Amino acid sequence: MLGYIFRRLLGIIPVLLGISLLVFTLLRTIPGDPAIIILGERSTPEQRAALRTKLKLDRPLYLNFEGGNVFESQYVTYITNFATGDFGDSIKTRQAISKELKERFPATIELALSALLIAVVVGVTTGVVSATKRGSLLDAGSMIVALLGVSIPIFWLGLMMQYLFSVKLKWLDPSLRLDTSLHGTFKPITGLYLLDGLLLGRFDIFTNAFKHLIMPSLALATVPLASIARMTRSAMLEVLYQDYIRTARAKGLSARITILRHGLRNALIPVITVIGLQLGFLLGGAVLTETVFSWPGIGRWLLDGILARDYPVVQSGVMFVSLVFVLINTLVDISYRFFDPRIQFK
Amino acid sequence: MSFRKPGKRSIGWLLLLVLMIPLIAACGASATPTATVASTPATGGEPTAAATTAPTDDTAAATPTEAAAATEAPTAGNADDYLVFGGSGEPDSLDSMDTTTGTALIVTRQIQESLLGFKPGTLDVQPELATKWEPNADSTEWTFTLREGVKFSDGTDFNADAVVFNFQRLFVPDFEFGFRAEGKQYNIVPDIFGGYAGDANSAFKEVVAVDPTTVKFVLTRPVPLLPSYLAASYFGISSPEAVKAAKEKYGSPEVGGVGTGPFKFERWDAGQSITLVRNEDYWGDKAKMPGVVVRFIAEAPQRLAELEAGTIDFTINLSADSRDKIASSAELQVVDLTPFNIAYLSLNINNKPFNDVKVRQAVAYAINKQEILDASYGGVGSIADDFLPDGLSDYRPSDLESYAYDPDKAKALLAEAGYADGFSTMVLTDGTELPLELWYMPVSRPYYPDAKSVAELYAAQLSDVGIKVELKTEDWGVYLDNWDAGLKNGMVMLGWTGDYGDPNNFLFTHFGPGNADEAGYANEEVWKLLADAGGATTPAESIKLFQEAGKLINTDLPRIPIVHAPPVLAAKKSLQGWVPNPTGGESFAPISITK
Amino acid sequence: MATTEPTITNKPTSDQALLLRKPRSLWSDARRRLLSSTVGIMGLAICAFLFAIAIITPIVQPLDQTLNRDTANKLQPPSWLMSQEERADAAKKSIDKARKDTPWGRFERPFGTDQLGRDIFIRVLHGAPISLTVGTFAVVLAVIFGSLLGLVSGFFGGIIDTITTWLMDILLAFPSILLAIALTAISNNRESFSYKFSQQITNLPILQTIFDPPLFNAMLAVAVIEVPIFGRIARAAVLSVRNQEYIHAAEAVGVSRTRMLMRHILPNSLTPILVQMTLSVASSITSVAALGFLGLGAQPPRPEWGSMLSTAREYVGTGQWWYALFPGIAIMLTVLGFNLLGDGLRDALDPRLKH
Repeated sequence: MLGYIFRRLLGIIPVLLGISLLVFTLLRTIPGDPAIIILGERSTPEQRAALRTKLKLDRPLYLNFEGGNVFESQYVTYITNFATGDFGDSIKTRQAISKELKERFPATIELALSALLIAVVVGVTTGVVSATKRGSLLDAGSMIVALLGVSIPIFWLGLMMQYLFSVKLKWLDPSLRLDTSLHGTFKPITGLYLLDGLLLGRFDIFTNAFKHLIMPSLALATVPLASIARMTRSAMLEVLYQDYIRTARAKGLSARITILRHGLRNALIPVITVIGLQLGFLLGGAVLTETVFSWPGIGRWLLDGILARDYPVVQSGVMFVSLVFVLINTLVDISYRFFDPRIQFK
Repeated sequence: MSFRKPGKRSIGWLLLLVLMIPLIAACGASATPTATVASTPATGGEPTAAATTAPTDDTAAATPTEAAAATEAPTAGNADDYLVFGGSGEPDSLDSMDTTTGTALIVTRQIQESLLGFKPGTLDVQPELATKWEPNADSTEWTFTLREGVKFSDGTDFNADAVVFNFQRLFVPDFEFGFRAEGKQYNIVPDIFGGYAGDANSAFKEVVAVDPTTVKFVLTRPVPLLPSYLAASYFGISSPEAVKAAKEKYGSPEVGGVGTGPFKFERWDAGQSITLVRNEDYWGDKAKMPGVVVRFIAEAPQRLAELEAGTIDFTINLSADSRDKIASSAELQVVDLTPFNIAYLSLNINNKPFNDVKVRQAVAYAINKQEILDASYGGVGSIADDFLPDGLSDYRPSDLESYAYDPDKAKALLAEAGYADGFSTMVLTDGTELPLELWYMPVSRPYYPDAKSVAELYAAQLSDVGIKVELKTEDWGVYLDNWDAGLKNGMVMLGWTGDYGDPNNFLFTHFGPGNADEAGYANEEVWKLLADAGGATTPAESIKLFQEAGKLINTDLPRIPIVHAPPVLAAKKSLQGWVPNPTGGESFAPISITK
Repeated sequence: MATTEPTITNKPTSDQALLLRKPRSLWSDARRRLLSSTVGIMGLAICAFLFAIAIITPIVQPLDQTLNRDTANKLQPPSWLMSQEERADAAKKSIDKARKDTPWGRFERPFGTDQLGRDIFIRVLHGAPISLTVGTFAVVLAVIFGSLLGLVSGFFGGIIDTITTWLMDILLAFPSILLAIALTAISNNRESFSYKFSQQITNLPILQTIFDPPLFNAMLAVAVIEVPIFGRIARAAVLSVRNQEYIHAAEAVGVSRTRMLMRHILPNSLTPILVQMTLSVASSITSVAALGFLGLGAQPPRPEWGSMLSTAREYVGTGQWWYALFPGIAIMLTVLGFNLLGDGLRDALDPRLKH
């Protein structure tokens, strides 16, 4: 089993190498000399040459066939730097990219996690209730809503929620993670403000962060929630017709216990797969949600980096996000095999 | 029984999975267990402020590394009392000399002071870090007497050496602490002085410290308006020690800026806000409020919404539509400011058919400036026949062709130029033919508060006379970079807010030799007239020369002036003491608000 | 549904009675099941309705960017929410001076007007042909490249299979919308190959009314992110039929590999591909709209729903909800239609999945 996990993790490497090649190649197709972008049009050729040497942009692209060490190339520099945690500096802000990642990544994680939590809790509950009350008005209603949910463009839903809850009703805050007056009044421990608020005993931060978080995470949760609800329902239906459920009922177990102990547990297996699949959606959807709600996370940061031709940000940022994404997917895949003993470890 | 097992385990694994994700997050985040309030204001002494620290150290005893900072700002006040300003975007840098964008300069103005300043609300020069200034007979040498006893907020002395250090950084290409090879650009210098020290066109020769409180600027030609130039926000003086320590990172979010101003840099939350706190050792009248939070809110409607919601106290560059809405609100006020700007549409003369002056004039006749003013500026502002705003109207030629909206004349001119059916493509200098581009700005600026809608109106109006355009935009930084590099083809929307009261700030910056690359307009007669006008010794002569140049520009029409738009500024009614400056940079020190 | 026709059995199917008597083929059986399921019917109805709008709108009222504006009446709420006086007032202010004395009807501007006083209703209608074409084009491209890759990879195996699978894994290792954003943003400049290609394509008169180069470019990016999905399905389908007896039989009688691929394996992988195509149209439409919303897709004044929302976003804070509401509903309805149709098709084509 450990061998299996090891093999799976090893299998990530060629994919990551492929991603790095893709990112590197794509960036090199953008017109414009990075040295000029960094130094400006009015810089002198000498300054540009010096910068190219410093950033090793004067090396061959992929591999060095011009003599000397074959690995003295821009691409190899890029991956070795990334692997050693040297992400470079952003052109736009002149800050270390690792620092920006450290500030922004927790924001996205907080958003994605709370969305996932909402999606799983509400989605599974809705699915179970719908399945047990199959054919009822409740079932039909929630499945129609779920159908709408998978079809809704989240950026539009975000806008509409902003209008309703911030502009019209003035209940919730339309943007950012905290009121500005709370900025800098505490030192984040995890960077997840809800958690930090609790850990520091700062309930003002907790409630404020909650008020800011609720709309973006609801918007982001919609599509996964709907998918999970639909999957749970059909998985539950399948399970409820199995012999062992009938047996359990025949034994005299209450409907409630049968459903929860026997039904849900087995129905969860396909549901977990759907949850795994939705993680990618959460990371990608974060770009849109963060744009709508001015959420200072990694998605918007990457998008701005791409638009501003901030090469180092794109190069390291995309790689980092892909790494996280691939890791999570692999972990989901591995854990999925634990859930279902019918699947053999090959 | 096999079906039972996975169920029990699955819950556990699900939990584990969920728990693993924050772990990934946490490995990047700081792991300091005890939270201390960084150097800050949160220790204001009110009972609520104590709650801002970790329960374990309620006295907010700062860690040793932070002690120094904490003693500097003993009672800065509660963060709730800070003034909140809705800025129209995130600054690119807090190094005033290395930025040209208004979003940054309004912040640097609070931190780094210039040698001279403007009297509130006007373009009249007044003392700031210099108390006296005088030229030699032909204005080629200017001597400034510096204010004594001033310190930078990092505790170092402000003196003549500091001033020389700053201007060497700005002007001298190989200055040790210029960090040009690391990315500092100082783009404003060629626009105002014609080039860096040593460049053929540069007006700057050298700056020397005569004694600790006297500096002398030596120029290559007469510059009668040097005091006005130096009052612009670009020339804010930074602490040399801070610059040396931070190197090329001076001005970045990590470091911020260090100057002598009424506020000092506290924190920059990337993508969100910059926090400034009151400089308690300020040499002049101390700021009324304990701090300012500058929030970055790019969209004008969102700034208005936040102002209405009370989450910001005052803001700038709102859309013209909001004027009535604010005026009728019980909590808000419109703050007036006369326009000192120009919104224009530039035509790239390197591209066929814009090399033909008839086509350029046809475009001008096709544009209905009144419709644009009514639709996107709420009808407030004035139609521009010339680049010079009303404050400088003395320098305008009296017999300007106004190119009043006349589609028939536009069509006739197009027919004369050989485009009776209009056109939809442009030909670049290398012969490639491309769809005709019209670039609109991705941000709101006082001159174009709503660039996208204006672009759509241009497209519609031009299509009435048969000119079909493709609208384009890109990241604002890239937009400006490409513009400077002359990479923007077709039509480009841009504008300008004056930095000081000098016609050349509008004319030389747009039609001088430093701008020939941008869109191909190079008229040496205009260059000479503008340079002579700038160096003229009598006002009458200066006016005459500017008018001559203006007339030539009016006929050549490389850039079509559209409107002079009054910026829409608004604040809560309880806010007092805000006197906006026409240049868009004023001190926030006198502003107070009851919260 | 056009893609299904070549595979319909060559027996005459027009006669309803005949159809009932004869043993039913997979396709007619599927059609019957599709038409008898509520989900399928609803999906079909919504899609048919949208296609009808997409075809009729440009014929009835060609979009004229220059005339369709009335800046004096900008950002007016839906006319059925305006009072009689407000509608009379709007008519007076209108640039259409001939209408000065006839007040607006109750449904003059049913969705309200935008920041240039344009009728949002008309613009939303004109968005239909754009989104439908974009969604269909992207999926057709993705199907062609994806299934070719998948078929070749599954059929030939070996090193070809390893490489294509690796490529598809790489593409799937990005969050898809992020990949689309990156591809679009990077290629959104004059010098890039895909932008040049987009410019050539959008020069064609028929496509000019639908696409502008950035939109076409965005669509290409969306097609790219859909390719591996079809690749995987096609590959799996090939692998599943490869070892079946009829393939071995065909092999034994000396049928060439290409012929076998085209005649025997391809038709058998059609079912899952067809279902996925319908679902992919839905996701492509959302993706292109999302790119438009981020300013990376269609440029104004083209009435693409996503880019309309990108402008409308600025007016949400000031309370003009109608500007953002209607284009969003249009996207949702379209996506819903294709999702329903996809679900219906899956149930209809794969009876094993029925409960």
